[in-house]
Amino acid sequence: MLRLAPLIAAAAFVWASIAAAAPTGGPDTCADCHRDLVAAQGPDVHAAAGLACASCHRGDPSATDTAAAKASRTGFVARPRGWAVATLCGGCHSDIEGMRTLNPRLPTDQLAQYRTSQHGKLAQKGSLRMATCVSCHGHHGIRHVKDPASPASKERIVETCTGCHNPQYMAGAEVPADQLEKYRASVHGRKRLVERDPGAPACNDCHGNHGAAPPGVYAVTHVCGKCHVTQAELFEASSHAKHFREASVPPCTTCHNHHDVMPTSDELLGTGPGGACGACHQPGDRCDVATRAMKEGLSRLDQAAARARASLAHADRLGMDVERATYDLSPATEALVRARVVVHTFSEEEFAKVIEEGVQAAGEVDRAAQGKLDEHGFRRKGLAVAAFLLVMLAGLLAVKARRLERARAAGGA
Amino acid sequence: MTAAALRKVAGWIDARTGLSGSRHLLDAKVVPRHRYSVFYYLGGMALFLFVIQVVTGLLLLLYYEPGTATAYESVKRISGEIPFGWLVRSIHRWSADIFIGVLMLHMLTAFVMKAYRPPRELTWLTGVGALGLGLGFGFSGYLLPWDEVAFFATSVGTAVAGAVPFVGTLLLELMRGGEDVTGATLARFFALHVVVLPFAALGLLGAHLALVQRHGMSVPPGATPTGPPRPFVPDFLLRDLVGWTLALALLAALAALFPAELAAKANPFASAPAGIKPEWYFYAPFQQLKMIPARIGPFEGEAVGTVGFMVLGALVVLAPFLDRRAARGEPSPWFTAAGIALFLYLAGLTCYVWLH
Amino acid sequence: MSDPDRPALQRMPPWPERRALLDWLLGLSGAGALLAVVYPVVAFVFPPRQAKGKSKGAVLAGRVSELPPGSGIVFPLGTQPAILVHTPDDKWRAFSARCTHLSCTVRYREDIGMLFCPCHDGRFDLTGKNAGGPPPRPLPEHTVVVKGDEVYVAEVEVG
Repeated sequence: MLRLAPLIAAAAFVWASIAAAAPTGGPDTCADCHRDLVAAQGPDVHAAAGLACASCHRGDPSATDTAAAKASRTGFVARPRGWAVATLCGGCHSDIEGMRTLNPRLPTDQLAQYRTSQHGKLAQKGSLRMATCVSCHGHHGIRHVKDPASPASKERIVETCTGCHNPQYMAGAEVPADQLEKYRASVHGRKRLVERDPGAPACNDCHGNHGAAPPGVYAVTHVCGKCHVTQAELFEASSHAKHFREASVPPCTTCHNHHDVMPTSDELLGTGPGGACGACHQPGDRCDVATRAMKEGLSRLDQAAARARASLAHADRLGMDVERATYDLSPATEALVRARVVVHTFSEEEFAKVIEEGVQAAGEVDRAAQGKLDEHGFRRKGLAVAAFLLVMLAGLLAVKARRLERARAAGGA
Repeated sequence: MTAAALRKVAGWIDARTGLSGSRHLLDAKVVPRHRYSVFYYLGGMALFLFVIQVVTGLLLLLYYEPGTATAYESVKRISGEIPFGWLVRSIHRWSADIFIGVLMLHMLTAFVMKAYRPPRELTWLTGVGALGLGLGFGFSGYLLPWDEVAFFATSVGTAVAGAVPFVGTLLLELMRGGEDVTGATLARFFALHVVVLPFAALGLLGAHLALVQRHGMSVPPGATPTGPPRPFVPDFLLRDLVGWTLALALLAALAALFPAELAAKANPFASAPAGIKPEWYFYAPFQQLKMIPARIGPFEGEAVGTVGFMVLGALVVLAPFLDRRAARGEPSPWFTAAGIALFLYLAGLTCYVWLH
Repeated sequence: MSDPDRPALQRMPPWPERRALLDWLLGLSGAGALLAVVYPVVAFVFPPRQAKGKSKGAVLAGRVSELPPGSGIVFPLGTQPAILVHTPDDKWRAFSARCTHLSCTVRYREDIGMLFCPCHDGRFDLTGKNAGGPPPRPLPEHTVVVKGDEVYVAEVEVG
């Protein structure tokens, strides 16, 4: 029997180490004491995959007393902080083959990206105040990012990022802390936070997720241009693109801001109050001449469309059929939108072309509406003729009636 | 030459139909002349306007397509695409209003002139029935364009019917073809407007006119003649024609200057816009019901209102049998006063709603 | 009354007497009034030429001979733009062309085989589903009926 003891001991040891390292099965005494932690965490993707406390915290889950369970030789880590979190999570999440067996759909470049980010760079230097994996994904109770309860979900990401990027936490730091205030006032912020439109960009759409950093000066065009494709393409082909590049001035954000992108108005054109061009241009120079022409074109088109619409409404009220004409007006209203996009060519000729198309369309509709009104007028003339005839007939009938009666009274009686 | 040819044709027809007999009747027809004989024109005017409705209605029927998916569009088409469709539709619309107005005046003048007294009780009853038919025509026709205004006016109107005690719900569901105004309502209103009511009108109007020919024109008790009776053909008829021609001119003017409108297509799921009203001839009962307090004694206000109307209506209908003095050929000022007072009250209510 | 002593001019037939004049005017205005009534009725009764191929609630959107597979055309449907697509696999589909993002007019792009909205790079696949960019909802679809060379699109939306 004693001859088998080493064998048994070896088997026991192998079995114990497998049990310690294996994700499934085996005793887990951590949960016996830390019951409230387990209860509070709710659904968790790691638990669902079969991982247990020791998978991340190490220690000895088979030990029955705290000292043995958390002995240093077990590699137990109570609360990983800073860069250690990244290496801990990255230990599994960068292991391509390992991740393939657990969840082949997850990317495995998070740690590599994180290394390039501001968060990662400063964390690697030792800072404990930087965002790490658990700052955005949570630690116990990690949910998939598509789950609205996850702090990294579209619904909650703004709240998560601004959990640190706010004046209180960032006090004393070199980076600005006014992003949330600006974003809330912006078009994007209002669409995302108030109207709950997930199509509107939030922090990670422009800054990236794991590799979060401010986009480089000229990368902005690509960031904004992901959605605002036409404007970006037109700008790149315009005269201004070269000048911005030479001066290392970021396009898009120079005129439209970044966190506080406001609803655009025609006031942005030119060097006047509310104008964006004044950053580089002087009042009275070529820019002013061009933008004044543009604004005048816009106002002309707007008025032409309004006039056509009013004529149509008038004809409609008079009972004329304005269906086709109303459809034909849409190129004019579209031209207004298109013109404001074509502004990004900074070319008076291109702009004027679009305006003229719109004005022409509006003019044709106005003419069509006038035609309807003329037809209505024709009806009134037709009425005048018919009414005259009828009234005359009535009068003649009355005279005839009287004549007949008098004849009878004279002849008879 | 043509006169002789016409005589030959007339002779041929007469030999086969015996219609020349009615010619003699027509020649013998006379219209009395007195202070109030001008009101005699009202009956003929109502008949003329009814004929206008039939003709324009038939024309509209050539292009109208009933059904919730096509009714609105076909009316739009009539108004916008069909040559003179706007004219036919607008005349039909205006003539309907004027027709009902003339009917009411005709009824009022007949009442005040005591034309209902024996032996003309049946004439009176068929006439009141014809007024009911006219209102039915107006109410059923109003829904046919299936626009928002029509839809909600019909909802309100049928809801009033639902306020009648005991049979209210049954009546409402009968009218609507269900609990709500839907395509089923449109279907039955169309059938009513185009088949049922026209047949009934043929019968009632036919009887009414036949009775008028039978009894001749009624003269109010105590009215003194201001001249010899006027022959119907050609004198009175020519005068009728003058009125009818002027009426036609008026309709053409109204159609051209104030064409019939078409609101947006009816959407049964949209909520009713504020201030929805039925057609003007229902303003009086509509307003009266609004003004009645919610409860009167142990009864619901609306029920009292509707019953009240029915009682009033019954009194008016039964006037020939209640007015003993007129039956004896004596002036009966109480009935005259009551009739005029009721008319003024209803007219006042109507004006009130019209102005608000 | 012809009087041999009167000059020839005065021997001409007299103007119609007042009664005949009245009857003549009456006849004329009566005929005129009758015409004023009959003409609109006749014009009304004869059906108008079918305007732009409109039949019961459907609109002629295009012709088979003018739309090869892998092409599309924007056309008016009521007051709104709609788009008819002849898909590369020879099916006909029609949708409202109002982009569900901010109502710009979409068009068919052969190079990506999808419906494309130029305003913010929105894309819809050939079932109308929003498949890229900001549009939040699919495009409503309309029934297509092909009659010979003519392709009709119904005004009523599918579903």
